[in-house]
Amino acid sequence: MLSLNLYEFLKNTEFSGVSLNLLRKFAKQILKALSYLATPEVDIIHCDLKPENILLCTPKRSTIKVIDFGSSCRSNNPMYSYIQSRFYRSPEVMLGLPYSTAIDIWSLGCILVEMHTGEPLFSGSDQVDQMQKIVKVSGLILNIFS
Amino acid sequence: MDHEHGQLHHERPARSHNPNSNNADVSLMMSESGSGTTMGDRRRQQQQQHPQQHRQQQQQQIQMRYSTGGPYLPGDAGGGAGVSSTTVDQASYGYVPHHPQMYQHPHHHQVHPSYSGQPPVPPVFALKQPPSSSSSVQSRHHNVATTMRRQRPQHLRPAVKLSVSLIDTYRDINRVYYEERANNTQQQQPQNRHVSSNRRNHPSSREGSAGGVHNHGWDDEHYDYIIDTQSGELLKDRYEIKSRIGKGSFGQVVRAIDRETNGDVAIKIIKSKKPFLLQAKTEIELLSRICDRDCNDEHNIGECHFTYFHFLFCLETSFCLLLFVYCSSIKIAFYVQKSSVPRV
Repeated sequence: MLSLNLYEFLKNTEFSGVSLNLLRKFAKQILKALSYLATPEVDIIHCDLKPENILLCTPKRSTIKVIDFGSSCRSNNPMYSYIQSRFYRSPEVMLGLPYSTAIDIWSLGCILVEMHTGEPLFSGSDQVDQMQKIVKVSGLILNIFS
Repeated sequence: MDHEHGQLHHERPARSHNPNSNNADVSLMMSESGSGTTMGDRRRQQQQQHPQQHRQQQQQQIQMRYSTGGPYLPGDAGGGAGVSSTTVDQASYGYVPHHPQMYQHPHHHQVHPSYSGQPPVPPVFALKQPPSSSSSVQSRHHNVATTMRRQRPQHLRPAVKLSVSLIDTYRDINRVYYEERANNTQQQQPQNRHVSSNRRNHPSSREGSAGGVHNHGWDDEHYDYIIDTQSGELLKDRYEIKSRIGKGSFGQVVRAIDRETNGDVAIKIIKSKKPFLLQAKTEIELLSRICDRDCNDEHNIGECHFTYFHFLFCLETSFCLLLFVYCSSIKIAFYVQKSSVPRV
């Protein structure tokens, strides 16, 4: 049986965040999973990447697993337009644009910052607020896509 | 209130403080006439409307009705002006005109010469005439409305409820709605209990099992499969349910023990509704895709870590189990079973 998820793990640190060293180990494993999902033979968008869906294999080690493909889809056959948890929702999903495996990378970025700082990077109270918080940091969305 | 208005409009408190000083009233009238929309202006507007009223055929009747003090008079103590705002203003200032002199404004006589021909009417009654109304019915309407508004507390007035305290209004509506809904469900529950007691009477019924609402009694009101943790319910005669790990919009995830391997497994039991079933099929397809190519478990995908991926699907009762077994070997099996046996 798998162990804690990363949110519970972060909670155990009393939201002080994890070290960059450990974060690097997490990031490498998640990227490995995402790059595998993005290979043309597999071609799956996770669509709900968040700390709750990343599980430690054992409480004492840094090995992790990505779980919950309950809202996943193939990138050539996107099923829903309303996907991803809000804090980790990418701009293209928010704007209703076509999306690809890149939306998981957006979520990954949000997760990594949160794991280090202990606070969600963009903690919007609703979709508009979420977009506002992103624009505040990244500038206008047009600039993000260009 | 009075204090505030005293600061804003100096004339009014002055008048109410000296109700018997005629000179003060007249001079104030004069001073008001030059300054915007004041009491004096409004009153003059009323008086200018009087001639029209006097031309009415029923003028005499109206005068009689109002000068004798009809049923609507009390609500109009401030002076029955045709403009409701004037009425409210006057009422809120507690200002009741006392002096005939106030109504002998020269302007008034010029506009309305016939007025002087009227038998002398006490000023209070004169003001009580509805000046702009063309019929007594309309004026009565207005007076009723004024009376009701004054009787209704400030916080119950529709204008207040729909503007300043709109949030409270919505909150009240919500509270009433949820209370009603709770009552309705309470009324429905006895029926459910009746059904479940019937089930218990069934010879093959399990002891202590609670009857469900949906899916032949297998599912609760949210279409979630009712798990039985106490008696160690066996799924597929193999997986013993231990506890519920989590719950979501899709359904629930339970922890179970695989009797064959004695290993822990997590079973995702989706709700018995078609959209969830379709989504589960998609998930299975995707997972099989992932696991086909991740045989060595190199890619940090959780589900591929499961020994056994088991899908139990009952078409008739349409409850649906996704079985994720958290162990080591990598083999995926789909298992579809039809069952039309109601839960007893």
